[in-house]
Amino acid sequence: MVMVFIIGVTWYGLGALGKAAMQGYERDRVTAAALKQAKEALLAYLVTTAAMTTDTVDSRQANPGRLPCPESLSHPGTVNEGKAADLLPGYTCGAVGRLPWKSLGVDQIRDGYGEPLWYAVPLGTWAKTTTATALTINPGLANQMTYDGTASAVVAVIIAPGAGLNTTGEPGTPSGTCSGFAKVNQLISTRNAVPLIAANFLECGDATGANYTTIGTSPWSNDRTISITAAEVMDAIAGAVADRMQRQVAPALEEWRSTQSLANWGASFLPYASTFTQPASNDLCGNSGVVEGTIPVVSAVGSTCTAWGGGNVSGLLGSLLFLGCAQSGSNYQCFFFNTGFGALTTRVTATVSNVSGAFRAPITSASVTNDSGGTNSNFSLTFSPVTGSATLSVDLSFGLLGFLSLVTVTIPDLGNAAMLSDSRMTWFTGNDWSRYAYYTIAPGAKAGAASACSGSGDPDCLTVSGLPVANGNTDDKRFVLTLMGRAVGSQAQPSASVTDYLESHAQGTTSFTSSVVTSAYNDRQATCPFKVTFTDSTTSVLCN
Amino acid sequence: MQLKRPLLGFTLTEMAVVLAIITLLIGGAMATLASIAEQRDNEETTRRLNAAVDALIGYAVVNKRLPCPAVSGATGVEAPAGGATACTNPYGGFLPAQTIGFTPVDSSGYGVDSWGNRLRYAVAATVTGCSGSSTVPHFTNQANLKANGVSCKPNDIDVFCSTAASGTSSTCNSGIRVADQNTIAFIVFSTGKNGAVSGSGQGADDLANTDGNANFVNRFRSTTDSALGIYDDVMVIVPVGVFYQKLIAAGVLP
Repeated sequence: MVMVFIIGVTWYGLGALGKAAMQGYERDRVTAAALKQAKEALLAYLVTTAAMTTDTVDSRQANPGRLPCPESLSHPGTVNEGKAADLLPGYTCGAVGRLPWKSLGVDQIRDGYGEPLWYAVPLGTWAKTTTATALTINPGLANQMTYDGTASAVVAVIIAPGAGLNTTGEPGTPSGTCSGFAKVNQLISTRNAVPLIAANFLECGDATGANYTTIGTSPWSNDRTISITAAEVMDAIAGAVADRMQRQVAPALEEWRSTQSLANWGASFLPYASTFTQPASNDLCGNSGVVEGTIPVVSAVGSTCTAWGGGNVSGLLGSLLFLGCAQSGSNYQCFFFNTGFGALTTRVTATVSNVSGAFRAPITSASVTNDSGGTNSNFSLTFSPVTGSATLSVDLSFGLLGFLSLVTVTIPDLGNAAMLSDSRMTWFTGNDWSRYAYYTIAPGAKAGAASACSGSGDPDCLTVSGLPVANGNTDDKRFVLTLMGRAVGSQAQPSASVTDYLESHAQGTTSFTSSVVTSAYNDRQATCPFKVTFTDSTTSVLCN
Repeated sequence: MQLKRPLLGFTLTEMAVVLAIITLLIGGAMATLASIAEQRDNEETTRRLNAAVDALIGYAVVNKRLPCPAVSGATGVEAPAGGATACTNPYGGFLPAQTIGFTPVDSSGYGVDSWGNRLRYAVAATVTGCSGSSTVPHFTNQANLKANGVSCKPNDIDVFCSTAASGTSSTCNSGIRVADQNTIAFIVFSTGKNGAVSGSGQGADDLANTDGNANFVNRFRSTTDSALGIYDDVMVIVPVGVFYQKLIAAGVLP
């Protein structure tokens, strides 16, 4: 009897011990796997949304790399459980909440204690607070959140909350990463009541957002976290962004060259590049004669990239005293006195420089105004591809003007060309991806080129070797837009040297090398002409 | 006078108590062993499903497309072979174990779960949201996948929490997806211990996964005690972003 009893007790005891040990190990393993899976799913979501060219839910196509909001704290147990808050109408995004697993396209992910994972984002920079929040996300956007005591270290944190804790009975005060935080009691009956309260699941800096930590300090915190950095986000979405550059930006550029520049200025050209400088501070204004650098997409608003000068007013009938011209706000104004006693007809001329270094629309006769009732005639705005400038000439006829009347003629600055507000371009320019895309135009595509880039083998074209046959010829390119990628090898960024960004091209040449992205090469080209070939051998020309 | 020494041995009462204890111990052990075996089978099946996903993505990296599902009555190879045309059975087929080099397989070459039932595989056959013109099949055709690009999202496979009406459960019913629409590139699943074919032992949600259409169910396991009925399938859902991300990293896309 005694022996049987002893054997039974021993067997049960050993079993219980083994079970407890396995549970602890097993829970840690499950938690680690859950965090890894969640990070992979979140980055994959960013790939999907970065590739979007349309989105009826919340215009996610406008900001590649935009992080989803956490699930609303009010949504557990409802039909909206698992959905990112920003994918629902009229949202206000919270900085911390449960991971929006359903929107990531995966089943609910739980940690080793069966708790759904949590997730924290920086609002206003990488995630929207409301649908009206304006974001500018590009490779230059910094990390925002404090992680393991380092400020601006990460852009998102996924948190495994672990079992509920009650540290109110623990001796001493919270220490380690929990130093300065209050003791908590999460073992309450209302823990899962909605709206959820983060502090009922997360401890210390994880609950307040003050300092997310990889592993909480026992016994004060049992959170486990995994972080996502800006570099990881950019690496994840680079391919999708490059795809959009090829499918959206490149056709828009080609349309400018073939159609818009011709309609606007009477000549087909791609604007000169802005001389390469450190991307974040480049003025994005093309420099005459520069065929490679940064794409000159600076907006006309607040920019002097194209500027009027050389203004003059001369008398055709009657007499006047020309006083001069000067820039006033976004206008160029010329002044003169009427020095005669009869009718006055004048000719106003001026030159706007650097038309070949920006995407600008011409002004019309009606946009040239004066303050003395003169009427316009013989308006012309003539672009010279050789000088890159455009010369305005307009005649102004006045009735009887008072002797020594001061007349002011106002010529507005050139406005943006339509392509800068083209929906194919706005994500690219609005997020400043343009700063991180190296722009090269073919000798035959610049303004005033002696001969055009006319097809395969033409030395006036660029060459991108390594492009698949399905994408057409490799040596007929009018421009190449290269997404430069993060630093690889010995490169150091940010930098004013293009060699710290480009691997596919040597400055001063007309050739590029397209290759598979590796640890030593991460350039991605968008170019024209470019086509894709489907399985039935039909082709779709993305740009001609 | 010397007392007679008592006889050695157990009384009937003692024997009964001992036997009762042993019976209890063995009974408990058997129940525990059954539970452990079931848990082990589920974990092993999940492991095989994850291995199948890895093998499918590995195949896609090498062949620049996903394979089509295998159909019944064959040998565990994709149908049709080569991926030139649309899959024979995109939603109701099996894991093409031979095509992707997955093991273990049954005698006919189909990948199996820990209960010996064939693993299932469904892949999206239609797409939406593509930038520019697009041609299907997308995911299973090398040229189209490359030409259509990564803006294309799957437009057919939907995984719901249940087939039950909302009156049965407000939080798990036929109107609630477990993953948002247009996010699922492919799924791999086991029909669970209760097997793959219609008959006794399967619930409505089990059967929904083998009816050949693009609507599937994935939820917690349950028995007849549940209002939702029996369900024991084990499923791994692969979002399109994960698929694209792997192929972009491998230089296959965009």
